[in-house]
Amino acid sequence: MRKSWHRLAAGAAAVLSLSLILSACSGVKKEEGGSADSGNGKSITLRIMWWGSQARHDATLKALDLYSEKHPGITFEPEYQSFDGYQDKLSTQSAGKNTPDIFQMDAAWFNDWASSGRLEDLSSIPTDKIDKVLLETGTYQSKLYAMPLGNNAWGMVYNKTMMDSLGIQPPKTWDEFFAMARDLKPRLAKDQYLTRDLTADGASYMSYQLSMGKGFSMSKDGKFHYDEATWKDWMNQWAELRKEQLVTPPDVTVSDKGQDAQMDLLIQEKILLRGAHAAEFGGTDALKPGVMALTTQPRATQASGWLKASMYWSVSPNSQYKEEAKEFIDWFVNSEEAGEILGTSRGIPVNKSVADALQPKFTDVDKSSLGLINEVSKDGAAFDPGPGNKGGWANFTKEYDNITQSIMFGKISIDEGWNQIVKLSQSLE
Amino acid sequence: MNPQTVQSAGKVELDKKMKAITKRFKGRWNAPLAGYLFIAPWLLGFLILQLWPIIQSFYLSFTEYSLLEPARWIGLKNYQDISQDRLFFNSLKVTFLYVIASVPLKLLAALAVALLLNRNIRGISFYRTIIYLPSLIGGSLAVAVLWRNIFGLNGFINHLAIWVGIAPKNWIGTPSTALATLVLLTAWQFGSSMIIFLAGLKQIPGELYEAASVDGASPLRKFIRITLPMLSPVILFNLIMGIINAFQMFTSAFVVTNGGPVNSTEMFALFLYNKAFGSLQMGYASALAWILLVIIGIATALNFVASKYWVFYETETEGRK
Repeated sequence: MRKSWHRLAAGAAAVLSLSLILSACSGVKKEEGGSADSGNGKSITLRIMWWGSQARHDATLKALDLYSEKHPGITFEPEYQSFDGYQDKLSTQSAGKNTPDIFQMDAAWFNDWASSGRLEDLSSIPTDKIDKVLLETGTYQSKLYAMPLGNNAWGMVYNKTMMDSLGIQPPKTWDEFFAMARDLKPRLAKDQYLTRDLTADGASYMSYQLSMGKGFSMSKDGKFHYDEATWKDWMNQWAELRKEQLVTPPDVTVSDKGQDAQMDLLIQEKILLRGAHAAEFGGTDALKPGVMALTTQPRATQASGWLKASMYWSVSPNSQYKEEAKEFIDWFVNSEEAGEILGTSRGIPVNKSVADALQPKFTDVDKSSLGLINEVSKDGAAFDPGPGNKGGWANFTKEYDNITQSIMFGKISIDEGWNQIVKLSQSLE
Repeated sequence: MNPQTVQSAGKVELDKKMKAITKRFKGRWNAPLAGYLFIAPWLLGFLILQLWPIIQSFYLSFTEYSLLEPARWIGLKNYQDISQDRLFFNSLKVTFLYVIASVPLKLLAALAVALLLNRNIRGISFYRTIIYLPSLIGGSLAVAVLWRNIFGLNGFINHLAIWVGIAPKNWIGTPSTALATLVLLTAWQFGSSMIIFLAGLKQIPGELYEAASVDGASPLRKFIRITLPMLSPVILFNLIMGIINAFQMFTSAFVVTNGGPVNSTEMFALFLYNKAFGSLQMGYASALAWILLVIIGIATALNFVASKYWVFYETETEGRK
């Protein structure tokens, strides 16, 4: 027993020393190679993760390739997916202290992440050409924790080809909107409608409440801002349309999945318009090229769209390569060569000189996005990242969907739904 | 007796004692050590990847833990909140409905197919393979996605429905039919239960059937009087495994319907997942996991108790003889 121990130890020591010698040799070699080259010859891999459509994946991967080409020794391990489940994945990685070096961040969760020390301070990245208002949305306690990547706006996407052939324009006001849902139906196929049933669509209701001059229904102060009269009015309008079969039936409404080639009702030409973000337009257009166009949300006494930062890059404080990650982000937002590849895949670039330089090269898709953003910026609402997940809001959003869906499926009345929402709001902190 | 033999007898005695002592020590330490080494790969996996997380989740069930911030001890509050959570009772209702509908259906399908395949015709192993095939891929995501399309708005079922004269609809998007599509998906994955039934059927002695035939028993009578009693231990096994699996059903509820519409398919495991990763309430979700464990434990215990009244073990009759 003893003998074999000795033998084992000796063997292990031999292997260890051998490997030390070998690594020492390779270390020397590397240094020599480094000095022959320009700069440092270290080779690192940055993990980077984002969500988006295929158009955004393609553009981003191309940009990563270019960066690796220009910076020998830096390679990327990209992880990308659609928005579904992205936050779940990121939170889980964060709990395991395994977040990628660089990851895409959303305005809605930014405060939760920044306030719990899960983001690296990015203040050292030059930002002199970036819109101050946008930067503000990625700042927490006067430190920049999330670099905004694009300008974005909430509006509507509509099937221009079909509307043109019907000789109509997208509705400009909510009154026009509801009237059109009625008047247009006889001219459409049996399973075609102007719009899907928006009873259970929180974002569209938010637009409606804004247009009535009642402000955002959810905002960053974390308080309950749903306006009873406006809400019931909205629900009643939809209940009538639903009863008269002028909007999609409930089972069809819940099957809608934006940006999915098979399940997006707009792409399937079952509906003619729906709410959309300017920065998503590339993905929508790719599914049905040249057919769709963007416009603003319908208005009432006020405009009902809003501006927002499309998304951000953040860096993990656990990253081994924070400086390299920040350098990459600097290149990503501030260099024209990156801007040229990325186009408007994350909205209109935040760096003014990059955006100006790109203007002549904009495709029709880019111009549509820019057009909507310009239109909304005239009189749309300012940024509001919303309440985030804290204080019971994650639960509220989910329950809100359930309650409004129950109304849509006729399981509860509108008044009952409102009472449930009020009761739910009392659990908010 | 000469003294030499006495001496040697004493020596033998001593040797025996020594051997017994060394054997006892060896027996206690050496032999089990080798045993533990042999099961070490499994044992380590169990301790690190299963037992430790189980202990952790028990602790977490008494805390508020959002993943982003450290866990905070809140005592029994999670359990109190759960007892007032409307969605918790909804998920319980959905899960029990699902278990009650899917388990018997799956067992019936498995038994029926096993009976069909339990005969000697040419190419029977080919048929067995073909019929078992869906179950190999049945639990996978791909099949769940396929199911979503079959029962979706433009799906295969709606093409059939038009032929039969039923108005096409989105079967997975209608609260009253969504759960049924998931039950069908489960019943369709009968393969592994079927294989076990098939093995059970092969175990039944042919003489029993021959004797019954001689007495002029009808096939139905043979099935009820011979096949079912002889198969009952296998039925019990499949029933218990089926119930345990059904209570934990997640994949198809997540992929096909994601709990909707109006929570009509929000199974317990999915509800737990949404609390954990959707609302980041890990403590709450851990408490839910422990409640599910207790429910499954009770269901299994009830099954064992009830089994005394309907499961027939061959050894019992032998004992009575």
